[in-house]
Amino acid sequence: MKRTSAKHNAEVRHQKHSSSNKVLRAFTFVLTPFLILVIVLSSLVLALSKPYAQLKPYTNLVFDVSAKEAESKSVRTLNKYRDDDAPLQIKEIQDDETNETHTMVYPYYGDYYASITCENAGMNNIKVYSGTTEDVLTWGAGWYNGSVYIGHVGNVVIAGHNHTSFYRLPNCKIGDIVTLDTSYCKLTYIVSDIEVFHETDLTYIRPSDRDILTMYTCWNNGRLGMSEYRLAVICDCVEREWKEVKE
Amino acid sequence: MKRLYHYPLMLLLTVLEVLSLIGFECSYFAQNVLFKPDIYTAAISDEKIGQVIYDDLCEYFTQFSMPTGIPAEVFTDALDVNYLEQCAKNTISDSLAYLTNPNATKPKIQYDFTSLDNSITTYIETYSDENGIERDDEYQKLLDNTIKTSHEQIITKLDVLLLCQFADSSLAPKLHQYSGYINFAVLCTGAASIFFLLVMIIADIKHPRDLPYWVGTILMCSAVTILIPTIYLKKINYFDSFIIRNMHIYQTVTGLFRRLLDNVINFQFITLLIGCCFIILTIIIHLFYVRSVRKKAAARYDYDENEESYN
Repeated sequence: MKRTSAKHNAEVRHQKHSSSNKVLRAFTFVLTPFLILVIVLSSLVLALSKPYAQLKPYTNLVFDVSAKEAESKSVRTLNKYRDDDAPLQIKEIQDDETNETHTMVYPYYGDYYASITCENAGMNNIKVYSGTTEDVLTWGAGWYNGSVYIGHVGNVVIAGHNHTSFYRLPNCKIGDIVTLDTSYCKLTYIVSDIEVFHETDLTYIRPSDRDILTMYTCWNNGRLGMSEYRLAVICDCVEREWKEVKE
Repeated sequence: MKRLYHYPLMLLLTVLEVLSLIGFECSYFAQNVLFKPDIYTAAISDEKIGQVIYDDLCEYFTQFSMPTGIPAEVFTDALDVNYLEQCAKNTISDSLAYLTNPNATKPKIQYDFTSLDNSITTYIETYSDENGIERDDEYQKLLDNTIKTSHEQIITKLDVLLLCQFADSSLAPKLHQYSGYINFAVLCTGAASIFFLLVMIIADIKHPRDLPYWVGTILMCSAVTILIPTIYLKKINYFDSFIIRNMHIYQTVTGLFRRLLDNVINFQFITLLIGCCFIILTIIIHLFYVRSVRKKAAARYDYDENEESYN
């Protein structure tokens, strides 16, 4: 009886190692890590989805993955240089006083925008670019893009470095004629006021109802060093001549 | 292939072990890598940030020469690439020390401006003497303002990870709090990992042949869980979209994250390989075990048969 059961046990053991059992075990053996991985990943996704949603706006501020796409789609963004394939920004505007229609070309950031001449001060065709960041001001004077576009009525603000583009600005005197020439209009101004102001004083670069041009530069009175003061030359517009724009 | 014993229990324990191991790895990583200056200083050296800062400053001082009338060389000749890099590294070490320990002294950018100040002062003095400019209050004010502005520029550029600014901001108390939590998290997750592993050993103590399989599974799953997001971030160059485009900051931050990702990916790959080795080891053990069991069973069967025939 005892011997028969030993034989029977061996047979049962053999059956346990039959092919179907082996396949099932092999499957269990291989699939268990994947099953655990799925459970772990699902638990983590569930646990972290809420904190991720809360954190996402902040990470988007720091890592702007969509920035490239947005940049190429944007026609005009502040402080961004023109894309190679960007179209000219031409617009028809109507003069409120004369009801005449004129064409204006709006600049992209860093574009060559205009030239300034004040013969009495020795300033001849000083190049004006759009924008007033340090890199733009290394090329020439810069039109402050927080002021009105050249041609519009208001305060057109142009800045330049005192040792380069606006080196001769202190030579301007009241009554001097200043011309501002763009691809779509030519404006003639007369110097009406010259002021020295502190760098924190924004009076002269603020928008104004007056049709004026404000040119300013650092004021260090012919000396070396970084000044806290600025010299502003304020001019009144006396003539506005519109040009035909060629595309 | 031998069967896996106590399968449901071991499965549950493995899941818990993987989760606690991932928690431990993350918190340990934060405590010993993110909150230590080594990886940051290594990134600064790798990315040659000293040179980047120097180039940025050269560009700035070239522009600065336009409103001041002082040639850029007066400023740039007084700068040293290695010294700039060392100061940037010191700033990070000091800032991290403060951000992780509120009792540490508040970080301050340490830079010796003596040579720069001398260079500026000498040039302006010489120019003034040559041009007969009086050294009055206005002269002194211009000189002081020039020196102050150039100091500010250098100081700004040396804080490459903006950690010094963080130390001054309202984020600092939060980070103090989080660094405390992270120490606690390391302890908790570490203890949990050991606990679950012990429970697994005890639960399967009669079948030690299966243990390498479960250990291998734990290592593989934890490695893959971390590898999936890190490889994805590396593939899409996520950190290259860092919004601050100032060269010295951008290069430090992106270089740092690249290095961090590479380290994490390498480490997790090694863990994954070790996990695979454990599983292969289990297969080998099982094969040998099954063979030996079969041999034993066959021997016993033969013995029984022989004994029966004798009788």
